[in-house]
Amino acid sequence: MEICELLIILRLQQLFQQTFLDAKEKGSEWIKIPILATAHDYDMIYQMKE
Amino acid sequence: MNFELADKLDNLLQENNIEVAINIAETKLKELPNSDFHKVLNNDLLHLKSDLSKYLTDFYNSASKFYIGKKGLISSIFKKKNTNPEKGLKAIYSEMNGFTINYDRWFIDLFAYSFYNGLEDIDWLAEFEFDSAKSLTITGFEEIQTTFQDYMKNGMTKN
Repeated sequence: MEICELLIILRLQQLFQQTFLDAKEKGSEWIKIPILATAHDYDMIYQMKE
Repeated sequence: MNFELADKLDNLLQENNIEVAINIAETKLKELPNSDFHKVLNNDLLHLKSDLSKYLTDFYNSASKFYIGKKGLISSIFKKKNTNPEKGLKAIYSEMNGFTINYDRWFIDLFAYSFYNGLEDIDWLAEFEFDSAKSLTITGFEEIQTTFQDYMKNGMTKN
């Protein structure tokens, strides 16, 4: 169960990473500030920043 | 929690090596006896990219207006432009709900800050000033949600 939990969070963060890369190509405004992502009660935070 | 694995994954995450982290976690899961939790293997959420992009863009625009509105108020009180130039959208935090117990619906919310205090101590994330009015529902993991439901209700593991 624990590894499944970690994988769910990593898949969520992969989604953010890939969405960020697409937005970077498009020149989206929101990539200019730090965007952080994780799940409730988890410290494994992913930060996207240009 | 397998802290050794979690630490290893977290380090990879900080290095932006998400694919490597996923591969390691999937390999570790495959080493365990088969269970319904193995349904997470080879499943991603990338079909949600355009939904997430729109969600983030809309939120960024709303939050930016929120802070501009605040600046405008301060400026109008003091009749001076850019009274507080430091105020403004500085960071966004996205949080998925507590998915192990809320198996009926998985979603993410967004939170905005006029400051950014890094990842060393993340207590500041609770001090958001603006948040998303609507959540973005996570689709594609319904089978795994059912697995968590079974586990929480029956303490299973099948297979």
